[in-house]
Order: sequence, then C-alpha cells, then structure tokens
Amino acid sequence: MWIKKLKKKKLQFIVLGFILAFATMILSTCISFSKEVQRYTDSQYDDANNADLLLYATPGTSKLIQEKSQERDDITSIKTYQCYYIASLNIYHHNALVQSYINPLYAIVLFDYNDVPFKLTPVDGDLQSTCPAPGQVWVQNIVADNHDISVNDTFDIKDGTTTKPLTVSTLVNDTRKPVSMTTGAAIFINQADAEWFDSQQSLELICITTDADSQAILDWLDTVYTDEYHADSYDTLSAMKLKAIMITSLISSLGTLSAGFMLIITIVIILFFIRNTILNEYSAIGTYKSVGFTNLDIMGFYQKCYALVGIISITIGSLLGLPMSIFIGRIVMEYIGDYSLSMASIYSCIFVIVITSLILIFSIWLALMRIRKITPVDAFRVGTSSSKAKLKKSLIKNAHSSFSMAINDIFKYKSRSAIIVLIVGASFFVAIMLVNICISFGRMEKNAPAWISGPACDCFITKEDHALTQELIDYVQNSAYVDSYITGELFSKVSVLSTDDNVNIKYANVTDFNTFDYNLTGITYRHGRPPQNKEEVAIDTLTLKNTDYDIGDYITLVINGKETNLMISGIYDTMMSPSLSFVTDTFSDVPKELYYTKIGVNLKNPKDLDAFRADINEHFPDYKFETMLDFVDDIKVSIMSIMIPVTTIIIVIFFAFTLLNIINMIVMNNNEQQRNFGIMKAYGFSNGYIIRRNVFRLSLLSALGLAIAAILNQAFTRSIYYAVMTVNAYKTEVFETTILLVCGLGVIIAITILLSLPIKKISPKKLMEE
Amino acid sequence: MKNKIIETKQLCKTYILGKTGMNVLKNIDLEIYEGDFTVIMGSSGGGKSTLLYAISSMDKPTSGTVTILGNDMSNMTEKQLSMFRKTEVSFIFQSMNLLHDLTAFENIAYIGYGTDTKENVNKKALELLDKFGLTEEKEKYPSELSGGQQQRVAICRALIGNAKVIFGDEPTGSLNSSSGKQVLDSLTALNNNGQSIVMVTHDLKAATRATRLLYMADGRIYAELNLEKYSSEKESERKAVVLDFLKEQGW
Repeated sequence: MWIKKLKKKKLQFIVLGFILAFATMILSTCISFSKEVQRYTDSQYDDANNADLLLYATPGTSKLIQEKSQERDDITSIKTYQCYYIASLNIYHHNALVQSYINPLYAIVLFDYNDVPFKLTPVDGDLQSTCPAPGQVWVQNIVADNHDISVNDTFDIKDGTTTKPLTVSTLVNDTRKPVSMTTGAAIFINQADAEWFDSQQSLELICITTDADSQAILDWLDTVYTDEYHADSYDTLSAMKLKAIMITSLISSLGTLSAGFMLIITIVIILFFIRNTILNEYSAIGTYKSVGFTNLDIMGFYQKCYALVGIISITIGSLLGLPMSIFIGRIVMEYIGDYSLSMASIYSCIFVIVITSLILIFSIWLALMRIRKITPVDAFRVGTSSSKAKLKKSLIKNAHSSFSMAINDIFKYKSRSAIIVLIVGASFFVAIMLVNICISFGRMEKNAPAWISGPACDCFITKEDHALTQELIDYVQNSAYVDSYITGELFSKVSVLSTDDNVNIKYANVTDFNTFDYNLTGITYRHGRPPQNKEEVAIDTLTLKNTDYDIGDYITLVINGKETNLMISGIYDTMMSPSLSFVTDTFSDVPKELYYTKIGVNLKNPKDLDAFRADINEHFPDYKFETMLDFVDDIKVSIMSIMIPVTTIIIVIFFAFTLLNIINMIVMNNNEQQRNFGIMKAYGFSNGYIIRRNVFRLSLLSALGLAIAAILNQAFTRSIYYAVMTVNAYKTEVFETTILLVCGLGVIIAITILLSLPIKKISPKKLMEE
Repeated sequence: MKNKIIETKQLCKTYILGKTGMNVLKNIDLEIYEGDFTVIMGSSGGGKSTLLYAISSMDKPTSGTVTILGNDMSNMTEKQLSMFRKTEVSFIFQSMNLLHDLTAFENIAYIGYGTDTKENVNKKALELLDKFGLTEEKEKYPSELSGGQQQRVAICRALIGNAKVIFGDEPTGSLNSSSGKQVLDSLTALNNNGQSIVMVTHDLKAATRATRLLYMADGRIYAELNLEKYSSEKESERKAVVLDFLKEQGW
C-alpha cells in the first residue's frame, strides 16, 4: 500500500526528497567544515610547533630579552631571525613597486623553514629546498595570489643604478598571514643576499614560546624595553589563529544558521504536506478503518513513504555534504594549508543522518496522529474537507478576474500562503545579506569612513618621512581639478601611549587631519563626534570596550613623550583597532614629518582622477599618489577571493531551496486543484485564466516574501554585520538588491508558469468519468 | 419545424488501449433540436457518455464533425472553446463538481461573471437560489450541503450563463429518490420553459421526463422514441411506453 502511495505522488516525493537533501547537505557541510577548520587550525597553530609571541624588534632586543628572561621560568624558548623593514629600497615586480601595494614589507633571512617556530608550507615551485638559494626569494602564497606573482617571476631590487634580480622560486603558506586582514607581508631571502637589504632598517624577528599568557609576557616586555631595544610590532599565536578562522567562523555560523533554518522549514513543509495528504485522503482513511485496518496500520502506510524518502534524502544530502565541505574548505583555508577531511567529518555526517532522521520520523509520527481522530462515519460525511474551519470567506466579494481570485486564494489557503512567504522571505533575506556583504567588501575603498574611520577622499598625495610642503599644498589648492582637501596623516608615526593600563594603545594606528569636517571627509561616529580642536581625541570602540571611559571623559595620553589631557569627543568603529584620531594641532610640538605627510584631495569630478594623477606625477615626481584602494586592496582581494565563491554557493543553494519549495507548492496545489481546474474548464474558463490565477497568487506571495526580506534586511542585517565584523560598514546597495529581487521574482514567475503549463492537459472530461 | 442545435456527421471516437484501438462511437449521425429534453440511455459501455462529451464540446472526435449551435467544433481553438462553454452550453455532473472552496452563491455567480454585469449576475444567482429553494444555503460551502442541495446548486450554476443547451451526465445518479425527483422536477420545469436539455441516464424515472429518448449500444444509436405526444401529466403512461421501448432494445 505504501509503495502505491509513493508512486501516486512520486513527483512531490522527489521534490520533498531534494529539499531534505539540500537542507541536510548544508547542515552536514557546515558541521564538518567547522569541525575540520577547528581541528586543522588547532594542528596548524599548535603550541608545540608555534611560538606564542612574534616580535619585530630593533637589533639587540633579543639579547636583552634573553638576559632578562633568566628571571622568569615560564619562557621556554626564544628564537631570533635576521630581517629587514623595507622602506626606501625599491623592489619591482612587473615594473610595479612592491611596497606600493604591500606595506609594511619585511625581508626575513631563512635558513631552514622546518626550523622556524611558525608554520611555513611550500605549496608551489621548488618544494624540495629548505630555504631560498642565493638569488632566489620565497613569497607568501596569499600575497602571490593577490598580486599575480608566480614562480619564476623576478623581483628587481634597484639600488641607484644597480639592479639585483631575485627569482621567485617557491610560494609558501605562512600561518602568520592566513588572511589579508593583516596588513603587510614578508618575503624570505637567502643569507647571501642579505647585503642587498643592508640599507634598510635592520630588525630581529623574535619568536617567544612561553607557558604563560601572551598578554602577561607582553606586559613584562614593556618593562624590559628601552629606547634602543624594543619591538615595533608584535603578533600573538591566539591572535593569528583568530584571524585565520575569522572568515571561516563567519561562513560556518552563517551556513549552520541557514541549514538549521532550512531544516526547520523543510520539516514544517513535510508536516504541512502530510496534513494536506490526510485531508485529501480523509475518505480513503475512513474506508480503511471501516474494513478493519487499525490506526497503526494506516499510519504505517504514510510513515513508510515519508520515512523512506526522508532517510534516503537525508543520507544522500549528508554524504554530499562531505565533498562540499572539502570544496568550501579548500577555498577558505587556501592560505593556511591543505584542507582535508578526518574521521570527525564522517562522525558528523553520521550524526546528521541519525539526528535529522529521528527528528523527521518523530515529526511525521506526530503529524500522523491526526489519523487516530478520523472515524469512518466522519470521513464519509466530510468527503474532501476535514473540517468547516478550513473554509474561509472570500476576501474580495464577487471576485471574477484571475487577479482578484488569486487574492481570495491567498486568504483561503492561509497556511500554504504563509509557508511560501516564509520561505521566500527568509531565503531572500539571507541572499540580500550575503550579496550586500560581498559588495561591502568589494567596495571597501568607497566606504573608508565606515571600515577604518578614514576620510573618503578621492586620492592622497604623500612623501614618506617628509612633511607636506607649502608648494604642494598651494598647487593642490589652485588646481582646477580640486574641490577641497585635508592635510595630516592616515597612519601617523607619532608615538601615543596611555597612562591607564586598561587602555592598550601601544602600536595603535594614529590618524590626524587638520579637520574631520563631514563635508570633506564623510566621517561620522556612532557615538559622539570626531575631534574638532587640539584638546580632543577620538578612540575606537574596541579599545575602550572594557574601560570606564565615555564621551566627554578626559584621558591622559603620552604624545611623543609628553603627557597631555584630552577630552574624548567620539568613540568610533574601525577594522584597525587600536586606533586614535586627532586634529593635527594636537601634535604641534611633534616633528611634522611624523604626522603632517599626507594631503587628502576631493576632486570636483572623480572621473578626473587619472588626469589629476598625471598632473601631480608630472609636477611632483617624488610624491606617491594613492587612493583608498591602495590601502585596502590587499585586504579586499583576499576577502573577496573567499567571500565571492562561498557567498555564491550559499545563494545558489538557498535559491535552489526556495525554488524547490515553490515547485513543491505548485505541484501540491496543481494536484489538489486538478478537480477545480477541470470544473472551471467545463464552465468555460480558459487555460490562460487558470494559469494566470496561479501565477498571480505565487507572484503576489513571492513579492510579499521579497518585501519582507527587504524589510528584515533593513531592520536586522546592519546589527548582525556589526556584531560579527565590529564595523558599521554594511550598506544595502539599492541597485544590486533591486536586481536580485527582480531576478528572483522573475525566476519564480517563470517557474510558476512552466509548472502551470500541465494545467492545459487537464480535461473536463475527467470529471464525468469520476 | 424545430431548429437543429446539434448535428453530428459520421462521428467516430476511438480510444487507444495498449496496441489496440477501441471504437467507442461508430459513424454516428445525430441531430438534436431546440427545446427538446433529449435523454440518452443504453447499455453500459455503449458509448453514451462519450457521445455526450463529444456533442457538448468537452471532447474532440477522432473523425467526423460536430456542429453545435452552428459552430463546427473541429475548427475551434482552445480559447474559442472556452468562450463557447462559458456562453453557449452548460453541464451538470453526476458528482456535482462544485468548487469546494466557494460558497453556494459564489459557485453560481463565479461562473456567470463575464457573461453579464456583476450586478445582474448576482441578482440572477440570488433569484436562482430562491427558485431552487436554496436561499438559506447561499453562504454554505458544498461540504455543508446535502447531495440534493449540491445538485440543485449545480443546476443553478448551469443556468446562470443563459446557456442554450444544458448537458447532464447522470445528474441524479448519486442522489436518493427524493433528491433525484427534486432535480428532475427542476429540469422538467426548465424544459417546459423552452430550455434545451441533453441528458445521459440509467434511471427509468429520469428517462420518462424526456421528450425524445435515444438508445445507444455498441457505439451506435439503435433506436429513438418520441415522447412529445405523451402528456407530462400522465407519468405512468409515459413510464410504460419507455419501459416497453427499452425492453424492445434489450435493456
């Protein structure tokens, strides 16, 4: 009997099977993915092979730390590597200055990559050597991918008239740079080539392994450092690990949420499907009972159908989740190492199969309990309607047009209307969010005020370590291209420290401009306002998160060695925490080359950018002409390379899920309404009328779902995004969102029309044969 | 001289069952006249219902022609057929086939909209409901009506569009005798007012309401009986004549 039932509704069961398979595939993918990412990052960043603290420090600092560490018993090893901070040495790749797109750039002298206390994995080129040979350079794989650097390419080091070529022999994954969210990069060189870098600032890469908390060691190091021996920047193992899984966490959280949502929807749909099946087979169920079948027998017919389809689909879906996990994992973890599956994925797959099957079977059983209430007499009497409550009055009285009948249908069949709205609404809410997240990353440079609380100027002109000259300012001021300009520095070198231990601003990003006027910079803060005079400072949200400071409070800062009391005028969000903003006047006692080195220009017409660039290059050839894109390109390219494919996959899956559900609804509707369609045809309603009624109904419901998706997006996505990314950079792009919604609606309408075409084959003759 | 409203010539209908064809209608030449209450009877599987589908525009013949109200069915597009069904003919089914999600009133009016203004259709629907004793039931859904009430709603529905011919496929087949009588009385009353009716039935009582009785067997019309000369008042006399006729045909 159950096989017969299965065959009778095979199309619907197939669609339901696909829906279940999709939901479990995503669930299985995400669980496997998060487990594998965790396992993989744990192994890549394990304590045994990785130093807990990495410092770029001045030469001699290592020796000082070694000596002082004798006082402590929690520092297990200190390893030091010779390296250089490349500031003025020109390194060209394909005639482009490497430092213009990678800043800061370090050259590390490598002897044996197996010996370093962080993980270097050669992935392309010479995989046998343990270090670059003389004349060769190893490049971080993520940097190579972002900037089209390939094995056998040449880095030309130009020193005056001499050129030293270094051949890229190997690309390596470096756990210190798993994503480009961290600015800067390193190249690895042979000891024999180190002399070419002697003109640059010599540094030590100090790798400290400790049993203590990294922060405790950092605090201790602050007491050890002197003016001569100190670290310029540092990284901790936990911070590197956090950066490595930042995107994966975002993706797996989004994916797991989506999968959970899909599964809930799927079960709701199956329950709805069962309910409708019982309603439609009310008489048949009564007949079974009247001839002696027990409730359990009858429930068994249906249970077997759904359980069989469910378990097969869940198993297929969960198994498909494994290759999908590899596919997504290899995209996301590309720069950390080779992503592969372990037994944990197999267990998670089995877990998904067992749990979802049990949930499904239990839900089906609960839904089938309704069969117990059906008596043969009730069933014969009621026919195809289970209760009077099911029938609702028409909303539009005297309706006749297909449109008004469609509206009546929507209200008469409220539960299925609600399901369609729910599916379309929720799916497109996620789709809108993902598309706009991608766009927000993709257009990072156009939203600098939100990402780094930086000015939205069209371009910046600067000369490293040189104060702005009046000549340049006058030229810019009088240029026909220029609308307005600001002066200062986005990444000032002024030393700013706090006297309060709770405010950790060592290595903070310090920004200063002569003005933060919104009309010139586009900068606004969530709390307070940018500084307006030399007695004010603005500090980023994360820095002040666990402190008592608020807007209007005074904070004591040590600016270039001099204590100053400043009022906190604003607290702002930025990707570059810790971060502080001042007006340039605050630094009036500091050498100008530390903070007064950039001019940010707003052009009258942004399309004149190239012409203005040519003009500046011609008149000020020693100056760098940059746009915000130059500052964020590295970060952006890396994120986009992960986000675009993953987002596309999730959107495609969600869209397929939505379409499958709509197909299911249409098939269900067409099956149930077959008789009504036949009656309508017998009384002269054309195929076009009936199809239009269907299309209008689905279109109206889908449009409502899309509108709800747009409203939910406006209401919640910004907060979700802020909670995950800690910056307020989410923007709903009206054009792209509209295109997405219109295309979505278009596809839904097309599918509805396509699936409604079989209505043409329904013959009123069948009614007479019944 | 009565007007021909339906005419078939060499009407054939063949169903393909597996690899063999089954000729259900065999070269039928038939004329049906305006104002008649034509009843088609015959043996099971004799082709009655198939003939009804063919002459009511619901099905297309395999060969031959069907002309209804001057329209050659074979030349009509699907759209024209829809319009034709809406305005020219109407149907009453054995299983009523009311739209289960519309009330009695809506079932009637919905079919009528498009043939006249909504006000007129609504007015007529209410009149029909009143005429057929269904005023109290106008807001009820089909599942809340008895079989007889449902069939009377179906008759009202058939009448709403001023159809020139009403076709009935065993309209009393699923009703008890009392409900069946109500329906037949309604149809007779309509016919008495000039409504053309073509009905297939197995029911002898239904057959006695005919003005013309056709007997079908094996895909052909074997015989016909004109009952116009018998007064509708004398039901027993008509019944005897019909019974004799049917017995003669081997019914």
